[in-house]
Amino acid sequence: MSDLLIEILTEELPARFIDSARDRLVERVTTHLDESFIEHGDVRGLSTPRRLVVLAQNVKDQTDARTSEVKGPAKASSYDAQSNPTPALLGFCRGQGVDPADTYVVDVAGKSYVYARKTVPGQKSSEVIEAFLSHLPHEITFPKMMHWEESGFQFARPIRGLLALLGTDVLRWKVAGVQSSNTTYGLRVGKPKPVTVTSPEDYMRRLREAFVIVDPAERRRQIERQADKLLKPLGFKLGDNMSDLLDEVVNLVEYPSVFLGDLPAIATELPESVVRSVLQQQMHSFLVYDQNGNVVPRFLTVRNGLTDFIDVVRRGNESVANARLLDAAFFIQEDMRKPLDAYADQLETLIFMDRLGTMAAKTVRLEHLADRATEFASVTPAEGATLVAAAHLAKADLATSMVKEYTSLQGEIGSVYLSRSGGSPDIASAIREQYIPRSPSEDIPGTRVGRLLGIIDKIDTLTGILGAGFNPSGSEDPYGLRRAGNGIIRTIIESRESVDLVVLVQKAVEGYLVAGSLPHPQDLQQKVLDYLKGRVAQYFKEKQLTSEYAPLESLPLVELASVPERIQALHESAGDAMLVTLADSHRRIQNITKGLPSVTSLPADLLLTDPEELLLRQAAETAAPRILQFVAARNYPEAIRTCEELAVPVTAFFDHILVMATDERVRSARLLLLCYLKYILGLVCDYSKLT
Amino acid sequence: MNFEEMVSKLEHFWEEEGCTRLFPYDQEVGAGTLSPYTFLRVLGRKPWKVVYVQPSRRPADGRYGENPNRLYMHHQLQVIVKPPTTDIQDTYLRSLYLLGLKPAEHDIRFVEDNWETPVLGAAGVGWEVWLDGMEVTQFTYFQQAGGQEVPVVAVEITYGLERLAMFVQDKKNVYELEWHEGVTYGDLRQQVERENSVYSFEQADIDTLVTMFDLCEKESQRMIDKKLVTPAYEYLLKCSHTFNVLDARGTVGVSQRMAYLARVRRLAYGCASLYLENESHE
Repeated sequence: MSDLLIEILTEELPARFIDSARDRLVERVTTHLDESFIEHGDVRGLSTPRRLVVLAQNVKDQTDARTSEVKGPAKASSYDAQSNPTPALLGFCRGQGVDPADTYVVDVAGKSYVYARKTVPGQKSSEVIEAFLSHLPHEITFPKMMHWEESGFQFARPIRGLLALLGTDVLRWKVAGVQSSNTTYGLRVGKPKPVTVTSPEDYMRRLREAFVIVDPAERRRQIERQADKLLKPLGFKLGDNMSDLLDEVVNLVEYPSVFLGDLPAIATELPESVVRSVLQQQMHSFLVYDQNGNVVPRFLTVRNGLTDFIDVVRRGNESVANARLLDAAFFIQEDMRKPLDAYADQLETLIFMDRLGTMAAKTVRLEHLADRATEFASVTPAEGATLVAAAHLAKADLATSMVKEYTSLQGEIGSVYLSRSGGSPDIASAIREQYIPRSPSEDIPGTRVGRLLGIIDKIDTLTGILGAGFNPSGSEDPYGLRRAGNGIIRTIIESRESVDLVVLVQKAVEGYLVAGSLPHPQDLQQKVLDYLKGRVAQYFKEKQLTSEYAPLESLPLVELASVPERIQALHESAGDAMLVTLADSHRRIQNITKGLPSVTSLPADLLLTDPEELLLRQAAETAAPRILQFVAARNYPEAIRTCEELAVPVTAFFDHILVMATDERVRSARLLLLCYLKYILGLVCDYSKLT
Repeated sequence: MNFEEMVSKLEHFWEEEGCTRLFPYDQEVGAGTLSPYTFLRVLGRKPWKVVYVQPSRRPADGRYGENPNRLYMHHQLQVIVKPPTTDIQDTYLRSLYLLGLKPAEHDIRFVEDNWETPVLGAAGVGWEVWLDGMEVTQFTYFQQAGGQEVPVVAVEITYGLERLAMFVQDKKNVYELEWHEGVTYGDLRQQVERENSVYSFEQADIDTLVTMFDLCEKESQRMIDKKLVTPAYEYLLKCSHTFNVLDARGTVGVSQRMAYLARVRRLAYGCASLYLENESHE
């Protein structure tokens, strides 16, 4: 048994591609080994910005001989009338290298087929691996590929070396003009010198000597440890939620050395969000905080390389930070010569999205929706006024130099400019919060106006994109549809504030129709609502609450805000003896009233005479107002308990009453009663979907 | 090391690597890529190895000679290696050695940056090169030009000469760079920057420029029809620069802007196809 080492050495891969490419490589190598019947131990992936690596332990040098059964032609076409083999059978046998006399017949789904059993001899693993290695790089795809040499082979960046060792043997492998060997290259310092790797066990150590830490988890630990060592004695720390940036930095360096730099004085005069953007996005560096969570004028950067000459690197980075922050200060100063309002007037020159008009037009639509907020949300007159004012200024900052330069600061900059010029803090917060949450880990906006502005903006975007005929597909989200949908849903669910999405979407569609030029307005409202419903289901699926959500899927979207409370109440009632009976009752009611609409009140003169049906009517009429009341008060545990009171009468009803009576008046009275029950129970949830 | 020494060292280095040293193209361009030495020569199959300095004008980036980092016109050193050698990255790093920039003493990184100029139907994949955090070079493998996949990939290395010189000379302000002993960048360029900024932001006559664009477009198209690539492309460059001035002047609306870009693109595609057609006749 030997270990297997495969390394693809490349020019610097984009950091964002590395983790998934490495995982894919591990998955492919494992599959190839398994499918070729090569026994092996643990298979792990390693990576740096310049290499994708697979290390498989205890790979058996030889595969065992095995027999395999091969399906041939149908029996009917294998023999002629004299029971002699036909050309079809002879051809099959020739192909498989077996004698026709050694074949046998097997019935498959009622039809007889000829089978051959053949012995596959054991093979040398090195030969099998060499065979699959040639496909391997073709099986790694990247979101963006390139070609660079005459064969036209595509990869994320040019491949410059291939290392393939089974034990101490070099496996033959050639891709895009590159031939495998037992050498690789270390960190880019000085003249490139080949590093010879004599065996897979040797690999990590040899690379470490050449200043490459090939295990990303170890690079991450080292960065964390070094950062700790620098920050702790000073009483400083990194911010929360630094995990994404850390992941990125791990994939930007082969050998991390952490250092602290000083921020220039100008940093203290700039909004924290601006300093953060400059450092994190443009310099892949970290802001530093004191124990009270205040930013200190330092930054932390990870150098790719050793600590030698680190002061030079520090000075360079400090002067870059200085230049960029000065640049930002310059933009802010220039921008603030005019009030934010003046930028709202410039939105005519900015396109919202191809085919969907300008940002000025979007602003008009947002104002239109904000103006009608009372029709889809509960807002006080003061909140309504703030919302309208915020909608007017919401997109203004897109016309500022600062946001043109730092697009991720949209919202943030409008908010800062408005506050700094003495504008309303409430409007300023809403402008900032409209883009929140940007990621699944970010909290929803803290103010109600911010939440509403965010929802209005995202609904407008969704409506426009779906209306323009862009449909989301696959894993890509080029128009940010999914993010918009998730933002709306999370905001409603987590704030527990109801928004009538049906009305809101209808108004959003109107907004586009007024402006004209929406290519696909037909059924648009329904399309948007369906899309949102789909995202809601996805939301609960990601929370691993699919079966908990199932009883609530039929609720109208307007009830979205209360779904978690209902899930909680159902969860608490799960032990109730009556709940199972209730689920069964609800199911029977639904089955028999299939296709009939719910009935929201009962006529007084229904022809009901049997005791069980009278009892049920009475139970329904007693329970209904209480259920309505509990639902209105969002007291779902009590609402469920009240529904449970109906379980026994419903069961008795079904046990004794024939709903489909021959007298049409009797039949319709009974069905009406059940349709009423369907309505009452459905106010809480669909109990029949309980598991 | 002053500015002119730095430039000659780099030019000489690439000459030694087998590149032909050319003079800057004698027309306004927005970037070294627009020079026909890049845009046309990356098309087709013929090998091409050149190095040239290209002054590049971006009217909208003008700052009246007052901003320490932003310029109406900056200088690029453009290297094209087609087809690329397998050690092209190492070759580039060696060129930095000459300027006293050794990888062991700095943090030199290749950070993903893909480049695209829809106006030219050109796209490439590559990096910006960071030197202790500062972007000093754009390093690109051409993938598309004139709207077509390139049959032979070219590497384009674009050194931002002012940035690099500021690093080498440890200057915070571009105008303080020493160009020649006793002569600063400011002595040579600051007044010009001011005048050109005033022109593009305040004085450019819109009607004249609109007419110029129309005339140059017509002439470029006429030359495409006559199958004369070079004059056709030179008039395209005039269109492109005229548009950039109009754009800086702040008078081009959104839909107008798209229309102008589409007109330039049409000419660019025309020139590219013509160039390829001529090459196939050789």
